Amino acid sequence: MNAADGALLDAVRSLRWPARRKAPAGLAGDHRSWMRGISTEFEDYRAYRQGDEVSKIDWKLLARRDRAYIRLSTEQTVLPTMIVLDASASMAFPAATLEKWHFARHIAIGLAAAAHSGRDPVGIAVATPQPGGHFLPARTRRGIVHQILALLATVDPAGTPPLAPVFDTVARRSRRARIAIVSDFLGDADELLRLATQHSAAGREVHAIHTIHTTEVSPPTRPALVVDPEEAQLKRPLTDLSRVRYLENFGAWRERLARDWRMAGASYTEVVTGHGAAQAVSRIVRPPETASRA
Amino acid sequence: MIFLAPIYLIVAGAVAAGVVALHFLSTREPDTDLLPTVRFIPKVPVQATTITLRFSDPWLLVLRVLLILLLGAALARPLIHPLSAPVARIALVDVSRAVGDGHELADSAREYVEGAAAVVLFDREAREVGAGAMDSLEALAEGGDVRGAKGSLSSAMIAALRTASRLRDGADSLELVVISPFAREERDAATERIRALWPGRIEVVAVGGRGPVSDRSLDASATAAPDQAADAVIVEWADSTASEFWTERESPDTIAGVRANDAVMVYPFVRRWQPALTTPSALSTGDATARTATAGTRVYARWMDGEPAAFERATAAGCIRSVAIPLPTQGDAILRPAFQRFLAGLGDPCGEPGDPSPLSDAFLTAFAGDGPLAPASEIGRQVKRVTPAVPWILALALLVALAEHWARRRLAAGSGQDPARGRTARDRSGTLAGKRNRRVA
Repeated sequence: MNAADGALLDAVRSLRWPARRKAPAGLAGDHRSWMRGISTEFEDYRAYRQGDEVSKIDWKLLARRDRAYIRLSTEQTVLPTMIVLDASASMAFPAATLEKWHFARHIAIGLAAAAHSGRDPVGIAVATPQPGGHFLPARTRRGIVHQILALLATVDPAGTPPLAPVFDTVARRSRRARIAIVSDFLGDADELLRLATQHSAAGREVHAIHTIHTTEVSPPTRPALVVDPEEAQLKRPLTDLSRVRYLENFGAWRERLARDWRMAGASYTEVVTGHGAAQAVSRIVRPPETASRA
Repeated sequence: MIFLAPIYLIVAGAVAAGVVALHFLSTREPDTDLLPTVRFIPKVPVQATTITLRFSDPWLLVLRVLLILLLGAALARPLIHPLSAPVARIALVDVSRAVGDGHELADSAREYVEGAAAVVLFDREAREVGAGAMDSLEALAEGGDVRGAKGSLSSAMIAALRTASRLRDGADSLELVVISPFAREERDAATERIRALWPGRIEVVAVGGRGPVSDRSLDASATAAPDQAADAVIVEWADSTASEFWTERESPDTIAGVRANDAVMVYPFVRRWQPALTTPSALSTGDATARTATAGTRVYARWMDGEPAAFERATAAGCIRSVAIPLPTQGDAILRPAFQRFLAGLGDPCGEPGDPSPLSDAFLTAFAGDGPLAPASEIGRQVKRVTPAVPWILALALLVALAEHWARRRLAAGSGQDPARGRTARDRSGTLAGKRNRRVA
């Protein structure tokens, strides 16, 4: 772990990542479950039905209303969190500093730390060219975040590994987990969206964190011939005229992407390098009414 | 060094200048930068031609310019010659039958032959001799065989002009010396005109001749020189008399004319006969060096292509003239003056006709001329398609061409490397695989 990683963990120490949907019942945790249980947090009254436990009858209300009601309270449960991280060649930008990759890595670590702080099991799956990729199942052990750190330190973004199969594998292996996808969505975005729509419709919480480098948002103004790091044959000249068209096309694509993911029922957050990973994590984990697009 | 066709060098220089100018144009792809979102840039051609302030690929430029200049130099036919001397001497030595005493000839020619840039021996034909010209003269004098065929000043002068065109680049002036008895028979209708082509004076060295025809004694031996007069002349025709000189052709051909002495007959002759294989080749080709083997026999007439058409062989009583010319028997061609002269000439005394008496002093004075020696600049240069330096220049050009090809391939290989090659620790083998659905703007 380097100094930047340590600073990030310090910055997100107080963050919690509340569930945006009611989680399925499970181990006791901080998230509201679909199930209603016997915790002390009152939620509602319900008319007594035959078969209910008599001990749950609210006698005071019975005295006032002359009718029997039982007291309902909210069940708290844990919400496993799996982070799917894109480690394709497009994330390795710029080539000299890999700023985009490090930023995405910090986002993933920050989210893992926030989830772990809420006593949620957290794991990670990295899409790499190596068969099987890198996978850590969701765990609540104390050192899981450091384990994730150590795992990501061994990953070099390269090649064109598809993200959709990794997402699908994670979803099948962790049926209750919320999934956060950290990617630039320059690969198999359509297939990924299709799977995310499926799982989101089934009640899973899905987060799409769109990682963008500042140079991609605002390319340099000097004329240059630019090439795709994942496809060397794709070369285009970046001139004053083509830069204008590029900004239009790229902006339109980002808007379309945000719309599609939100319509799919997922949470979409656009994070740009240069704004700080801790702030970005804070925006991601914030409840929906306070989240805003970058 | 001089160039026989300098225009090619000028053209090569212009082409090389164009190549230099082209190297200021850069049409290669500029250096590339990585950008993951390239697909959102509109698709346009990635090459552009710009003019740069400094030329690209200097070594390739040098090789190309050198190659063009070498090719131009080869086409320009460079001539490398030694430093020019003030005067180059050409000695024409008469070794024809008109010479009286071979030793006198050799003595007279010695001071001119030694130190001459070229020595030409002439009789009917002229031939340049290399080193050892004096030895050749003395050998001819010792052998008593200086007197061969009839001499020709015209042939000698033509040889002198040809030799002069070869020597002109190595001298400022050319000195021509003619050592000859200057017999009348050596002059023909073209002699004065050919003499006029020489642009300077000629040193005339007259040696003793054989004298007039009446002073000659007859030699009745079978090997007598054919130029000696004889009493009986026998004419045999190949068509009607079997002769050792002729064999029948497998397929007759047609030829337009034949020359016998001063009679030139133009007619579509059908040749049925050809010189027999036993006929010495010297006679067929006129090679005077084999004269000793063919003493007593000479070519009397030749077809237009040089093949002998009639032979004259000396006999004890005179000579036999064997003729393979089928004279026309129909029409009036036989009545033409040339045909009549030929027929009349068949009865002439044996031997090559000629007058060995010396030419007049007036002729010799006019022949010698006055004024300075011939300037080399006024002598026409010998046309050479390939000068000695050209093969070397072409070989060097080939090496340069190979070097240019190698340099160009190496440059192309170097510019085709992966633009992200700086990241050698990472996998560069990514290709589209699995399910990908790229969105392209």
